Formats: sequence, C-alpha cells, structure tokens
Amino acid sequence: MATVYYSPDCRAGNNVIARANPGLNVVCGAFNIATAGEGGGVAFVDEDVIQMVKVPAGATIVDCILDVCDLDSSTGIRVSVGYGATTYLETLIAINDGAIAGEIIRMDVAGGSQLAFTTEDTIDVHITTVASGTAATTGIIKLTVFYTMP
Amino acid sequence: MTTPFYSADCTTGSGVQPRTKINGVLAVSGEYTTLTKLIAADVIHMVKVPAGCTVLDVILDIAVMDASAALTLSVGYTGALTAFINASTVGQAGGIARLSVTGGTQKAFTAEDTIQVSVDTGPTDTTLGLMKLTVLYTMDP
Repeated sequence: MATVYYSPDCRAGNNVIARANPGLNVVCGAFNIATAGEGGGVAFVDEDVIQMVKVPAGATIVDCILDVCDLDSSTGIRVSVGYGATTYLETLIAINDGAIAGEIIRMDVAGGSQLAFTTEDTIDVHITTVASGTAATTGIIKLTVFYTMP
Repeated sequence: MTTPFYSADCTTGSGVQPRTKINGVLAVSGEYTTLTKLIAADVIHMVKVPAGCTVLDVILDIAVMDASAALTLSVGYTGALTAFINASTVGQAGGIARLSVTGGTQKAFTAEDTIQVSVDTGPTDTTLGLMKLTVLYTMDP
C-alpha cells in the first residue's frame, strides 16, 4: 500500500513556517530514506509520496531542483515532482528515470513555472513506478524550491 | 606546475565580502580570463562564499577554450573539487554548465570558502578566454 512520507520540515507539529520575504525565496527539504523517525526506513512502493517542503499561501514557484539518489539496483524506478499529496503530482518535474543511478533534475513541465498557490501546500516527490530491482533503503533525496511572494 | 588562479573577487586584499544579511536567495558572480594555457590540476578560485551559507546552484558560463576537445573542467570547493560539476566538456565548444553532481545541492558551509573551477584534463589548443561563475546560495537557517 502506498504511503505518504514526510521530510523533517513537513512532519506534523514541526512548526516550520515557510518564509515569505520580498524577492526570491528558497526552501530546501531533505528526506533520509533510512531514518525511520521520518516515516522512512522502508523501500518505496508504487504511488508513495514524500512531502518534501512547504510553500506558503501566495507563493509563486519559480524553479525547483530535485537531487535524487540511486533508488533502484535495476532500471525500473520512475519519480516525479508536484504538489497536493494526492493530485497534481507531475506538475513541476515530469516522470523520469533519474533515480536509477541518481541525478540532478530541474523543473521541466510546461506550465510549472509561475505556478501560484493561494493556500499553503507541500511540494512532493512521487514514486510513479516502483524499483524493478532491489529498492534502496538508504540515501538522501533533496528538493530545492525557488519562489516569490507578491 | 599547477597554479592557483584568482578572479578579481578572490585575490588577496580584494576586500570583497560575500553578502550575508539578506533573507532568501543570494548570488555571487565572478569571472576570470585565462592568461596562459591551462594545464591539468590548475585551480581557479572564482567566488567567495560566506560561513553559514548553503549553496543551492552553480552556473558555469565559459567561452570556447579547446576546439580540439580535450579540456574538461570541474566546479567544487576546497577539498572537494568535483562537488558541483564533474569533468564537464563545456569548455571545449563553450556554453553553460549547471550543478549536476548528485548530492551536490544544499551544501552547507561552516567556514568561508571559495568556489573553484579546476582543470581535470588540460586543453590541446592554446585558446585563451573568459569564464564566469555564478553561485546561488542562501543564509536562511
């Protein structure tokens, strides 16, 4: 069964408030797969979602960078980046194979830039296809999101 | 013998202080024009980053420096010269290379350092040219 995981910044009760300064803001999230306290410590399955960072109400996304480690000893795994935890999970970075060997992947979905949020939300990594070989149980996934406020 | 080169921002006594007092995203840009043919293991100190910063992205913008297609360059910092860009061929025909090393994003610095371009394989040609490096970072905790 698919699970929603949380980076430390997205866990309930963590009191993280997304910054809302003038100019260009950035929010960085990291998810340590092996850290059970973050709901991790297990291999990902199809449709798992990792809530990586929060963006505040009023934010307009400018760019994002996914820094994903090797998640599959074979070549089956696919991931994407979007928002909403259950919907819009491929709106910033399309389904890609970067987690086969680990890769840096930037925003690549048309319409992803200047995506505006009227309410606070999370930017999420989505496991769209499970590992076909041995799934990684260690490693760090990082997501950096650039945004502006009105 | 390999040489440490310095952009104007990184030379001793330049007085350049990387900015630290603005929230959000900061950028520091440096440029260096080669004065002599680069050789393997040369290092060019391009920009300073302050203690407490977290590097988010780097952009290397370089002119044609080796049409003979031998030159490869990396971008990193003291003790980790390939941390951000590893053996890029961008300097052969010229172009833009961005941070591309897995795990290279969100690198936190506890002490001031310089972001450096290093030469992995020296050029065949003697073409001299301009290289520019822009580093995006944040001081947000």
